[in-house]
Amino acid sequence: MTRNPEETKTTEETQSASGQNLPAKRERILSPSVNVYENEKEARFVFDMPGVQEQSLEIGIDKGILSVEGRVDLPIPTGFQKEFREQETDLYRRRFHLNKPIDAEKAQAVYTKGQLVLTLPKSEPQKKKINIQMT
Amino acid sequence: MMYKFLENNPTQSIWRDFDRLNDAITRSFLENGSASVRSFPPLNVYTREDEAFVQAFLPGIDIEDIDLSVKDNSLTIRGKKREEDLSEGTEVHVREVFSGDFSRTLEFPFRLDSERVTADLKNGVLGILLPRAEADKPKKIRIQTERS
Repeated sequence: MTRNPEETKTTEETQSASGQNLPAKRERILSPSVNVYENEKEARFVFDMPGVQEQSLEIGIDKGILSVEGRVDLPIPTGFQKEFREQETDLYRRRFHLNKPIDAEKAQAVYTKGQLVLTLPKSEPQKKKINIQMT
Repeated sequence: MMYKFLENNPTQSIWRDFDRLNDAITRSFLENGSASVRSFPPLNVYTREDEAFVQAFLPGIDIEDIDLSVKDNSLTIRGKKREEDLSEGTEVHVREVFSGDFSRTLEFPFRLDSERVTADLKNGVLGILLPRAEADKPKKIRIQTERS
């Protein structure tokens, strides 16, 4: 079953040369559908992000938060006009709170068939032996 | 069918009926109690005189699992999206991504030229170009003058 992905619009206003406020480009941001799996070794995220320009993909892990962003690049042949659009997106964006430590250095990301697959290996819990000094 | 070739601006009125027809088709999919909450795949449709361009969003699906067919004035996109093979002991935390069989039909206000339809799949987006059948285009009729 699919859940309706959230869609948010942001509008920025710019000033034109004549000093009037013009609505600038409206960015349509879509939160992509995702499947999240976990086993002993790793967590895997599969995001549905069709039509993304691969170089625009940004994936970051910071303070336990995973964030993913990708810009859509879907050219239309010249001379065509919009008739109806069920998916108008400029940007995919989603964030997750990771509740287990992840080895970010060994994380892998692959963008294939319009899906972003992230494999995040879990960190080994640090074991430390504490030596007690005897005086 | 509700063709309105006789109106002053035939192109615009053709596409108006197209919208209504497709709303009806989408609604009937939902009313038939299909399992998915939304129609899959999502579609964007662009038009030009005598031609249509459709984008179908099909992430994670291989070409061999997609079936495209064109007949008269309708295009059907059918196929299946496979569920991932998971190794034993894998926990599923979130499952939002659609999987399973799908089928969607779009009806156009003109007959399609099945020989000249082209499609390509890139990054999970299927782009389909659908020209109008030549035989379907209105032809100019030369009026013959009477000889005296």
